[in-house]
Amino acid sequence: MKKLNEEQLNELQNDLDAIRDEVLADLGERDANYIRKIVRLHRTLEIGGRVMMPFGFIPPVFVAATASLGIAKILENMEIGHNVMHGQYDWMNDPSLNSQTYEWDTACSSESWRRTHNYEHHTYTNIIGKDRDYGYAVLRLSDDERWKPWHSLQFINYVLLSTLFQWGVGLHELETEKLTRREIRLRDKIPFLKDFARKGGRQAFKDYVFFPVLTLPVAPIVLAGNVGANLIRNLWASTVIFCGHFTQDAETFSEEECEGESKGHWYLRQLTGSSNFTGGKWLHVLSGHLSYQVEHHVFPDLPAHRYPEISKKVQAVCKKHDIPYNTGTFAKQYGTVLSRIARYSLPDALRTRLEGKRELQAI
Amino acid sequence: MNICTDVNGVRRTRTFSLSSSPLLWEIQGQITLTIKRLPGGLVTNWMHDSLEEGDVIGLTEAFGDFQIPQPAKPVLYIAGGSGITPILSQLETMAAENYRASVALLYFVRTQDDVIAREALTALAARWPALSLTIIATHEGEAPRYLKDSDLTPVTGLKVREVYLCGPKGLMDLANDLLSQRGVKEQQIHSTFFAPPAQAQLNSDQLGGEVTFTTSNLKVGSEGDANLLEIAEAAGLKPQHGCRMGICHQCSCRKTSGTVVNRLTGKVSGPGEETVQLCVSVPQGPVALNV
Repeated sequence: MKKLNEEQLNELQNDLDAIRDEVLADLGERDANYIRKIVRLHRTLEIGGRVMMPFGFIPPVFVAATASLGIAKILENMEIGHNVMHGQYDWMNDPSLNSQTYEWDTACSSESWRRTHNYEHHTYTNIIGKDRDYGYAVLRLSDDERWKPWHSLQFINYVLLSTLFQWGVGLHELETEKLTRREIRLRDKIPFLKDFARKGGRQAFKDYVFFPVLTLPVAPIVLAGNVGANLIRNLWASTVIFCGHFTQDAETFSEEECEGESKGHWYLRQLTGSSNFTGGKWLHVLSGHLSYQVEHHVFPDLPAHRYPEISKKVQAVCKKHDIPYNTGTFAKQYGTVLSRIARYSLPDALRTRLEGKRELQAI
Repeated sequence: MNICTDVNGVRRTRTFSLSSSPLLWEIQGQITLTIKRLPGGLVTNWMHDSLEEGDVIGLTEAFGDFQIPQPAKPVLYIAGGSGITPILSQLETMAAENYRASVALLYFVRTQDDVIAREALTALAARWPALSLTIIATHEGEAPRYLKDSDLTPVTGLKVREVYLCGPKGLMDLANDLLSQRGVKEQQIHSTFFAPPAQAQLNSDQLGGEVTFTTSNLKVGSEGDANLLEIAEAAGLKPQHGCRMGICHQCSCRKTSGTVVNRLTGKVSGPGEETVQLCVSVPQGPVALNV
């Protein structure tokens, strides 16, 4: 990690705070209109998808209905739910967009999400052993973790995690790795499991029982479409999120170097531990603007549609302090994620030999 | 009643008095609010400038204990400025039901041009002999002319009247003093505030104040720049929290009243109900929280 002295860290903090203050002073009707427009679009797509689904015995309608519902879920989870729960729209004082009461369309309960994501992940970003989002305790993504034989099959884990992403996220707080190490007891997790059963059960009931039964003669089609829509959302959400912290140059940190850290150091860690990808306007909207992961991690509670507007300023601050700003095309960034998963599935000796060979070839 | 509306993207709630009688609602399904521009006021100015016919705003049910005495008793109203609005509503109702006892109104305005609903008031006084109307301008002479003891002399049978006060704090304090000197009992005096509390300066020695945790039924004092999260924890409460540095919004909760200063931005909140981050909010005067 790039080292800055205390004075430089304070300067970095002031520079970034200035960007933040400028946006805060400008928040208003434009932001309110934007998020309400997205909420309307989400509802239109969801209702459209649900209404079309029973007519899915006509193949093109099935495709349209599934895509519509899948995109609705993506918008709701990423541009609305995730961002609202960060408190990005709390200033609007609108109870339907309040971070503490919003409940989203996925298996993970909002309360559990706010604990594991808003608090743990955003406070301890990429600190190995503290940020449980780094590899989600099922993937080895850096040599800070010792290689074990089962890691060689971790690509299968990755595919499973992506496919069943909403359930993985829902069960994240169970902390299975700490249970198997006997650091915590299962009975401590009973309140969480009850909460998970309630929320996950409701989600499964809605998509896999209620709507299919409602349209009984075509229940299998509706069931298949709903499974498809959830799958589209799962794969997309997991891909976007993996591009945020697991790309080639996204850095990791140790607990020691972050002990008693200042706000400036926290900013530095967010800048170097996150990575963006480029693309068109709709790619950004559908990623909940997590394509601007760097900006999101520096300013998690600024309305996300502002990230493209402040990106230039953040890049200028990075340049001024000689901090790398990690970005690239979606394909390139995702490629480095897949390569990281594959490389760290190998024992270190084999991995470094192969990496050495590649570097030689490159020369 | 409370009015709820979005001003520049932010939902604001403000309390206003009904100035029409409930009869208007029963007969025509309409209500009247008389709202004056408050200098520097966010919501009242927005209403005058931007609210248009056909726009939708939120309303709550009417509330308050400013009610006409039943059975009829002699009444004295002392109003200041736009504090006349709830009284207008009562006078309309009393006149319509031909209220039997005598009703006196002392209405204080800055200048004669500032009288709200002058026509309605004079029309009421003309057709309803029980009402005696006195309008006093406070800022037309050399020195301000505030409520004084001799204003109460013409009010017959003062000691047995129900007294209703609505106006700026100065007027209400003065009225309370004069009335108690004349032997009017506290139970006979009903007050309703209409002016927002004066905004305190952002100054470290003005921070702190009594914090009421309504859900936990607990009240504690605080001094200096202790934030609400620290105050709650010192009081033995365990509100949900996370980063303690204003990032994660784990500790956000509803403030039901009072003013807080955001430690990060130095911004002073509004006095009404809104969501605040406990870990970066410092009370400025008394604050009530849903914790």
